[in-house]
Amino acid sequence: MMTMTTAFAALAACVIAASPAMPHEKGVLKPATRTLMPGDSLAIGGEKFTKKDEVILVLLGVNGRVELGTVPTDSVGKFRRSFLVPATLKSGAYRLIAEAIDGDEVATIDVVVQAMHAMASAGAMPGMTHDMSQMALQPTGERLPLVPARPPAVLISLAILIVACAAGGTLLLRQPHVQTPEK
Amino acid sequence: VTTRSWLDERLGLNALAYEIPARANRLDFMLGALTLVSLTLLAVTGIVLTQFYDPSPIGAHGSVQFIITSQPVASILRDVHVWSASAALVLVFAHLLAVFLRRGFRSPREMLWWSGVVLLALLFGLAFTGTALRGDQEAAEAIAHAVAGAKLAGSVGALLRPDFTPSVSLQSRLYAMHVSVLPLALLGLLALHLWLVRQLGVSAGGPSRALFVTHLRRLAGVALVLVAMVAAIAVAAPAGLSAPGVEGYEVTKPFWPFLWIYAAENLFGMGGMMLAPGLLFGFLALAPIVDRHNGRAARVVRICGVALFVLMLAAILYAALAPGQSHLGMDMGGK
Repeated sequence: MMTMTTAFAALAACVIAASPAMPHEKGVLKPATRTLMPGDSLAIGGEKFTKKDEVILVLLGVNGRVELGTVPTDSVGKFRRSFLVPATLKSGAYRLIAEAIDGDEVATIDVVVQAMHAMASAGAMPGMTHDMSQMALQPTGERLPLVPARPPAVLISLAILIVACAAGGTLLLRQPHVQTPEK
Repeated sequence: VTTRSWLDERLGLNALAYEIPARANRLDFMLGALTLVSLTLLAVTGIVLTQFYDPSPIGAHGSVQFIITSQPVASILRDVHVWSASAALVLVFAHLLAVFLRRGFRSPREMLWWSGVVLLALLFGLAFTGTALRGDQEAAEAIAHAVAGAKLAGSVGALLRPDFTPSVSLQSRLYAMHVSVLPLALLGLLALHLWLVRQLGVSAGGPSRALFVTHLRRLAGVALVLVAMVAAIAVAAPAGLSAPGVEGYEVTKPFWPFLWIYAAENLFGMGGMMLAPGLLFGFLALAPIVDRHNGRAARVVRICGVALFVLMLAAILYAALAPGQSHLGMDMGGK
């Protein structure tokens, strides 16, 4: 009985230790627009955050993670500030995330970064590199020089799977026994 | 009690020990089932890919690039998905030709044949919508062709017109068709097709009989070899991706199963897009009606069928080798 009590006490201590000491308020992000333009400034408002705290605004998408900056919240947990959307940011779907200083995600909203060629066709944009504008304006069916992700562990597993399938298939086909109906 | 008998009793596996013609154990009678194996591979890999793919026009290309370069398992599954699509189309045409040559469409198997013809059309629909999802130049041109075709088809093509609804992009709707509408239709028709096979039997003559379980074992063997081949090709030749699509240009050729339609467009303009599939599917639909008995009509159907098949292969070869042409009157990017 004593042992069980000790175990429960230890478990409770672990749970308490693992949970955050001060949970952050979950806020609401209100960007001026949800369609972002690389090189443009973007006004972002926020409310219902922890009062007198700081939040880090981040764009996270398949093209990577970009930190826009850090902003302090006021006495009612609000903020409003303009940030520069990096001119080199690739087009695509992103999540605009507000993180607390300890990395805890406290608010998020989906946004899209406008395609470069859509803007390129409308005229040169500030911050657009030569390569980007070339890629945007010249249509091509040539394959992109992408290097597929192929770690050795995955390749070895796949090789084993291929050999197993081929061997299993061959064994099944070589099995001479053919069942015929009983007369 | 052996494991086998325990399973037999609980799952009713004995029902699989029914008689089939012994000839059905040949490879040319397994092509339909092998197509089904490819479709299963497509479904499984496709379900995984949906977890990484962004169907919005702005996110599609980036997400495919992300899958290729940053997600090892999804990247290989994408390659398997692409090569399984090719395998399914090769196998379904081989199956179609084999059934046609043994006149498997004759009474009482007309419905079986017609369900197969609609399944073929659905497979083409899946291949097209799949091509259009990459967000690259080939995808942009595939969508432009679909829109042009939809305009030619009038109200029948309403679903493929961008002005069908302003709330969702055509690419997102093509994604919905690719992952829900077409697979559901395929599943329903496949169920009918398989039920009809079970009811009517395969069109294999001969007095010799075998049990279906023997067929299943051989089929499992061939299926495993097929899976191994597709996986090996997927590793050796990863599916590519071109630069993000730029609208208003025609600089690519379509996915190979559509090259025969591309060839028809080369020769007859945009009308060829309607003419070539109309000819193929019209012929396939009419074959069981015209070819009812042995005689002159049967010979004509057979000759026409073989000629159409050879013509299709020749058209694919011609389109692959011929220089690119503009079919929509768009810029060819300096070509």
